[in-house]
Amino acid sequence: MLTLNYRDSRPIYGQIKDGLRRMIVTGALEPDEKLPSVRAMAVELSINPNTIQRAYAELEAEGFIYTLPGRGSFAARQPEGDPARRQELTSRLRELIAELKYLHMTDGEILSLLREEGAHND
Amino acid sequence: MIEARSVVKTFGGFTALDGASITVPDGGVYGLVGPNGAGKSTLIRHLTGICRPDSGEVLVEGEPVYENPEKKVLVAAIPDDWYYFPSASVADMARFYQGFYPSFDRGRYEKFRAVFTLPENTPIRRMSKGMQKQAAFWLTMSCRPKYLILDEPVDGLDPVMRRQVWSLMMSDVSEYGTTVLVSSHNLRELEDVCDHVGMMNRGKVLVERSLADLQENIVKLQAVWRAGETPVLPRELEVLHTSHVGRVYTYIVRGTAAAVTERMEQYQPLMLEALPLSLEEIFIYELGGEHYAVKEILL
Amino acid sequence: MSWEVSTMPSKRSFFNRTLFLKNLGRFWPLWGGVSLAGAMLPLYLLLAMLQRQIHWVEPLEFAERLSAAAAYLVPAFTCGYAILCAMAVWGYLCNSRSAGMMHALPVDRTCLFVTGVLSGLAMILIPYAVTGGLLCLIALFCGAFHLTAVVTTVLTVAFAAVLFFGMATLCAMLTGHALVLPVFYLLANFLAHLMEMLVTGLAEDFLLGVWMTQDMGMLGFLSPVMQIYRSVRPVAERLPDGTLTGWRLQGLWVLGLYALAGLALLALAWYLYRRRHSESAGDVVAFRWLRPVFRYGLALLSGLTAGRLLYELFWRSLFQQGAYAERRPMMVCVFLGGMLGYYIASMLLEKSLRVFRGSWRGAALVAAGAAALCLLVSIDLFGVERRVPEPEEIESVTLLDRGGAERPLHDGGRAGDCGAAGAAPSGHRGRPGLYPHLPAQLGQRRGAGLQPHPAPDLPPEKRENCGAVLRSVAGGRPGGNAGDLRQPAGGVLQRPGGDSGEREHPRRRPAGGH
Repeated sequence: MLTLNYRDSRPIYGQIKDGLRRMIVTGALEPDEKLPSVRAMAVELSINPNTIQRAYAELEAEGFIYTLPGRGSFAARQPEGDPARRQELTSRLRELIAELKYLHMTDGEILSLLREEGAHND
Repeated sequence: MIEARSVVKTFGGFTALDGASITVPDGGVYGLVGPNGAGKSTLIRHLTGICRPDSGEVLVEGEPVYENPEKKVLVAAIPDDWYYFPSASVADMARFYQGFYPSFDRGRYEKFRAVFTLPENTPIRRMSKGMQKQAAFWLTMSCRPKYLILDEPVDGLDPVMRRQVWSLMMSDVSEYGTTVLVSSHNLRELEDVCDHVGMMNRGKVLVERSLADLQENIVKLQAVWRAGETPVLPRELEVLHTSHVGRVYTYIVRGTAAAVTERMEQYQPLMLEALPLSLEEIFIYELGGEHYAVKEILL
Repeated sequence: MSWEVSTMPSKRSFFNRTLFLKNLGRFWPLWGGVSLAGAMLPLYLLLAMLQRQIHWVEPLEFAERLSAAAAYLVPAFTCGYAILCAMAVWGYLCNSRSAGMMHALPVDRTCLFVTGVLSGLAMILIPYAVTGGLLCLIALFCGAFHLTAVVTTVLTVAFAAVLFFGMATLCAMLTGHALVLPVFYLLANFLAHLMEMLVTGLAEDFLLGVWMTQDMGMLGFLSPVMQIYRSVRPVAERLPDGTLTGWRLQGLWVLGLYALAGLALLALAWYLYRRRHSESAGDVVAFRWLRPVFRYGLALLSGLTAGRLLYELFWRSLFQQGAYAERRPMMVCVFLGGMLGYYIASMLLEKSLRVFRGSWRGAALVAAGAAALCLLVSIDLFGVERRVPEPEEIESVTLLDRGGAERPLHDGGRAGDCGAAGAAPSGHRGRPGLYPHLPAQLGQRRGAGLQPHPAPDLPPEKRENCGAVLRSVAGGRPGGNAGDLRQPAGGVLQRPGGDSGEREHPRRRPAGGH
């Protein structure tokens, strides 16, 4: 389900979180779909189940998933805005915009990008 | 829980362990890392009840493990020089272990046969080193110990087998709550599987923390300063290492990414980026110093 | 599976069946091979009996032969076989990998010890059981079965097994090197004899008339094999026509005592095993306190052998004046020989060739030891040289010629070849040949005049005297009295056969008041 890039300098649990988030955001994991169990993921990826547990716990804190005791973890519906996450992504977006402008992208081109993405989600 | 408290051990005139203390919490994977000759193998020999410390204690579930069969039965180890009887096959060794460990699970042993694909009745000495290692895993994991201690475990295994072996161990950790202690040089691999890390050097355990703690409290900052305005960073910022290539400065700083970034922002860099460190880098910088560091020698 | 001693929650097992069976299984070539070889004996007997069509053997005959085998074969064989079994069972202590594995197993040292001892004893007893069982079967078939003999033999075997395996196990606990174990065992069995030989040899060099003998006297028990051979004997009572009327095995109690000693040794070995460090695997000695013992022990042995050899080669043949060793050169030679042993021991202990640094303290000790030893022996503390046997004590006198060969007295007492003089009091279990006072009384100490061997140096008048005294002793000449024995004579005053029975000469009893 998830692939890890072992050469990536990001910690493993970070990669897991990012991977799961991407899947939820893009819709690869539909709302209320069951996530793989901690154990199954540990076995498949050969990584520490406690690490996976931590990733799941943080995703739950961020509102991307919810856990039912004894049943497992499930993708949440449209999560509410998590301020910390929004902050993180906003600053990243700023960096990307800065670099695009350095590469001579105009404001107009950037705005049209936004409009395209907006069209996708509707 | 496995504990070592201020263990001192001397062989002849050589002090192998100089007040080493570790605490291995239950149900996790503990990585014991350190340079060659740090005392990892000696410490492991104490944890398995082979050696008796000159002073200090080695405890398994609160009791000294030396000469304590009730606690030793919970511990199984694969040392880096695993021993098998000269003409024994895997089946022979299985029968032998079964006579000592009540938790030896025949069913598991049978299931693992499909995984390890080793000839069961050939003398182990005829197998290659890698296959012998696999045999060690097959047998030890069939014992289903509560505490599994591994000294350089996956050295000599091919990549497929390595993943397979880790996979099996992770399954045990999540299913049975097995505690694993791994001593290794391969930090890349340990990073994926550990949740606690202990760093040893010269017979002492210098740093012992959860991996999360380690990863969150050290950060690599890359900064570009305005021309001529390179700041001298204060001591309390705990910069472990500084280097620069051209005008890009790299700092290794202790502290959370957020806190350190905030402090660095005060110096108004042109560019500032906080990056996480790999376990390998943490190891290098934590243990670094005059005694042990990568020396930049151009030959 | 392990046997539990009690059913309480905290169980402590003293024996592990898996390990026991593993030991027997691993070493089956050893005990199996010996069993096979042992089974050849009854087989041969059976075939011989069939061939000669013997269908009936007298039980007493069977008993007598069996006990002869028990007395003569069992101890020596068990002595040699026990060390092989011990090397097999305790071999794991000599390799750090195997020691690590065994000590990591969830059993304590006591369990490992008990299981090892039982494994070793089983390996020793199985071949005996096979051979003995077959013999008993054959005996049953031909009516020769004699229960007492069988029981006695079983006891002999058991006692010998406990003794020798106990000795071998103790040796195994003291070392961590597989090749050193048999050496320690050999020393344990024969060190007393060896030391006796070496010290007597040194005394021979210094003192007149000291003679190397086989008899160890009171300390003979230190060499079990030899003591058993002396003490445990089958005794058969026969009628004049040779018919056997009774039989017994004499001295079995000695073997029983030795078995008790074996148990004590096992207890000591158990204690040592529990204190032993796993990391002593591969070391020549397993305990720190044993290191100086090994070092200086080897120095002592080497001093007494290599040192004397050095003396023989370089001093006696070239510079020595007189028949006796000179103290100072001997001290130097013993010191040099001792240092050789000291350095060899140090190299073995440190496992390195670089042991010379800082060894001056050891050298000083060895020098002091060499000096003390030579001094003590040469000053003749026990008055060996001066001792004069009473006339009543002397059984006979024998002349020795230069080569040490004996010449009977009635040869006319060829005084030209006065040899070493020695006398032993009769009826005394002490050593023959120890009273060389005679030349001493002439003032012949070292290097002057009468020498133990080369006769030509003897001044003519002394040769005359030599012969005169001998004739007087031999013939009971009138006027001969104890004082005459103090005349120079070169002869061996012999005690009658008795235990050693080595020499057979015409015996002459001094008559009259001698």
